[in-house]
Amino acid sequence: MSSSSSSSLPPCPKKMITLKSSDGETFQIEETAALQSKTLENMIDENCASTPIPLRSINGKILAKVVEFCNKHAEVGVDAESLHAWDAEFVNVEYTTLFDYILAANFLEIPTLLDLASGVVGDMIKGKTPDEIRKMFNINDAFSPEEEEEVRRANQWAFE
Amino acid sequence: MADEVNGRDGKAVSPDLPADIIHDILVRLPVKTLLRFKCVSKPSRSIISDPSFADSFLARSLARPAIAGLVSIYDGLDHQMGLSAPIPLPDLPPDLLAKILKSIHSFFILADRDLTLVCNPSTREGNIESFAALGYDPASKQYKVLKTWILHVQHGDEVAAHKVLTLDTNSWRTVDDCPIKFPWDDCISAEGAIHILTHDLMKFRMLLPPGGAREGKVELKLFREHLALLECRRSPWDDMITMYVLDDYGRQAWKELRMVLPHNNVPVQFSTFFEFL
Repeated sequence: MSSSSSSSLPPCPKKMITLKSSDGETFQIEETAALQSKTLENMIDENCASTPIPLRSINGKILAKVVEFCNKHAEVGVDAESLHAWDAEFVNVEYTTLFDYILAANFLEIPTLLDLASGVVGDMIKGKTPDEIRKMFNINDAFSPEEEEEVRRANQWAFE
Repeated sequence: MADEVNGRDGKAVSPDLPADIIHDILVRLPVKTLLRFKCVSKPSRSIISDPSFADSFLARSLARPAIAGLVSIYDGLDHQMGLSAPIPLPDLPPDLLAKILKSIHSFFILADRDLTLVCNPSTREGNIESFAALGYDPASKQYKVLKTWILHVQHGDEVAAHKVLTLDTNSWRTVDDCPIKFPWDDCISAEGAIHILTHDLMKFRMLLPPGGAREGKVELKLFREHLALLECRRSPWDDMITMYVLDDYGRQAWKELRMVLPHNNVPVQFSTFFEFL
């Protein structure tokens, strides 16, 4: 009795979009899910989405996750609480991966993903020392020891 | 299921994030973290120190519910009520019996008789100065200080001189023909002008107070960049705080907002709005 009452379903078939990662993997995504990306939306609008869309800055591993994220967030009838839990699990990854999510979300213009990953990176910064932050952000041009001592002294309480 | 393999103990090199994304990540962090981030490198210090960063940080903070920032302080700094978190303060002289006279954004003016202190508890910066009053001009994004000297007493009237200091430029400007006698009750800057509440009405721009406000029982405030008058009526069971916000400066239209707080034995007369940054 599962598929017998299909009267409420929309009549048109689901339109699929094909995305191609930098390393040549292809992914199918429903148009409704893909529309969360402003960049993809523009491409679909311009009608140049009939062939696979090449995304040269995103590798297959990250693109698979981004597609997974868009699919989940396009699902109908997911309550806010369980979506929240799903999101928390989704971003429970190394910060290098979070950076990849951020770059992909920035390129594809997916505000929900950008916001989510940026927030987690922010939380990670909260508990870190300047040294750890330097490592995290690839910062090599640190202060000279004297300069660092001076800046630290000026903001002493922030290290207590 | 979301386990990513990125090598042990952070051997993977993270990709560089564009500056605008780093800006967006930082702007939602608390001040303490930002001060620590400032110590990371020269570029990171310049991101935090940039005026545009301060602007977006302030805008974000102001967008939070303002009622969270209603504080009463009575007789010294150890008595704070109505707040979830105590206010961090810079080191103060031990015998300072200070009241918070005024706060704008995260700046406070504390006063102990003739001593006045301007401090920013969010960054714990503080300077003891002989300031008189502090105002923020949202149009020019400048903090201004009004200082008054009593020159002499003529026919029983005090004659005063007024100067305005702009904190950015550190330049003093003399205010001529200022009709206000010393002392005035409250001072604030908004809409490009400094506003002063005297004992019965605001004379500097001759703004008419709202009809409902009781004479002499109101305090001048800045609420979300609008001038506001705060009035407290007490009853044995609750304290009614009425805030009149000058919504439309040109037409002098005041909007009335009411809040009821549980009654407290501590008078709310030193109430001040400030934003938690």
